[in-house]
Amino acid sequence: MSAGWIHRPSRDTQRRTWAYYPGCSLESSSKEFDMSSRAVLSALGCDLVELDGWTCCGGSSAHAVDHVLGAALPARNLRLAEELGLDVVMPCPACSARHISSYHELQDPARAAKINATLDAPAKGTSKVLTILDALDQAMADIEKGDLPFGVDMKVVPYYGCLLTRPRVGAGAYTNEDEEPVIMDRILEKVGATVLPWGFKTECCGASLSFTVKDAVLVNSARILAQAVDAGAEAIVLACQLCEQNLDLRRKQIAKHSGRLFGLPVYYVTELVGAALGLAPDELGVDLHAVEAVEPLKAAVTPQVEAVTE
Amino acid sequence: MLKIGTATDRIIDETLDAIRAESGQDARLCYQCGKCSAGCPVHAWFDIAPNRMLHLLQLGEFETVLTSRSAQLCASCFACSMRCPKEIDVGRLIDAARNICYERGLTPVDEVAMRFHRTFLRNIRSHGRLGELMLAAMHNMVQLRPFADVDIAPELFFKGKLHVSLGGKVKDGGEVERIFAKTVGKI
Repeated sequence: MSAGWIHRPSRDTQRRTWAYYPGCSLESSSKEFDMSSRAVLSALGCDLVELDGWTCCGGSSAHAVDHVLGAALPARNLRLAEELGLDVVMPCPACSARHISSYHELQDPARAAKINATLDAPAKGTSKVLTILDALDQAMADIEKGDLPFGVDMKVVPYYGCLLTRPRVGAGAYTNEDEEPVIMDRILEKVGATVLPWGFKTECCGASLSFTVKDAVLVNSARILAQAVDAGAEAIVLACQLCEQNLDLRRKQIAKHSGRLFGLPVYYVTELVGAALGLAPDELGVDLHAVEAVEPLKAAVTPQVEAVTE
Repeated sequence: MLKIGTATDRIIDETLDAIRAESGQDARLCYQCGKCSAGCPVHAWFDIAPNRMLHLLQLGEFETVLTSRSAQLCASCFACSMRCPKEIDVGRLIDAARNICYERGLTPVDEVAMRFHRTFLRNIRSHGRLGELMLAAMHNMVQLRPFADVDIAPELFFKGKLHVSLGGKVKDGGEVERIFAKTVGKI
């Protein structure tokens, strides 16, 4: 059977081209986020051009030591996107938050001058940053619930974490959804998941504090998992590899610390969209999670009869 | 170190003006509602709650804030900044505090975060991108806890997620090194 069921944007001119910045984590410890982001955006009719010669944004360290350094490292990458004349998709929320912050500083002439004084060539601040949620939201704009070839029948809580909705003033297609974001909810409803309400959408898991105050990570992550279970969720869906590492990879450490072993799997939003598009779990990297995630996903994926008969 | 009540109003005003010029944030606006501390995920591990940091700045006790454990450990989640009714970007203010602490070579109450940042930045300065394995290994050595997180290493290793790159360097034409040289100089 042809792949005709894969969603094609209604107008041919709608094919989107974005620059792509994976970031350091997506090259190694979180490669499934990279795999699923690329596979899903490609299946949705988007072309991604990886920035040639991209460098680290400085993470949570550069801005903590020197503000100009923390803005200049991302500005270099923004300049690479400007050279291509493209907006840039950044799945890692730590990267996107730093680049969005830098983008905003570049709009202020005095601050831009300070930043550009450290670069080989100036960044103009013309290329916008899209988080993976912004990119999916745009790429799936024409898709309604039931349009995709498969449905993912699963009760989930959408977990945005802290950085995905911050800083408040976004550079991309932001809707000022900072405390009660719904952009991921909308995507999950389109793939057929039941999105449950809960109060921990934007609570921080402790992020990279695993290197400095690990207890903060274990306590906060245990709290998030407990809230998800109490909300009745079968899985947590997220879009941040730091959250994924803390909630999935550190599950045994959390059990040791809190005395509670949580069994629910964690998925990247891209993995669920990919499953609804008909991509196999190993194409999406679902088999690379620490807590068993492949079987629950397989059990939840069901063909959408209407889409096949079309 | 300035003690509470010893800084004159003029010194306090001038210092808060300087902080505002650097960070765009005015600590004088805070009226102690406490929302920043209520929402802070690291609050329990802080020595000074975020709202108290603001109050200490208003009182002129700058060095206490600059060298506090709180300023060092802040996770930069920006929950405080989002929730401030006076629209103070508290996270940005905390960044300014630790920037000044680093720049002046002050010794913070807790040095673990600063050691981590140094290890992280040295890593990207020499390679252009972060080698996560190298970062974890170096940080554990600096912290004299060589076996921290070894329990999760096999999980990463057997799933091909430990990307071991030795001596690889991104082709950036040396620009990253020049950015470091022009900002922090030697780390």
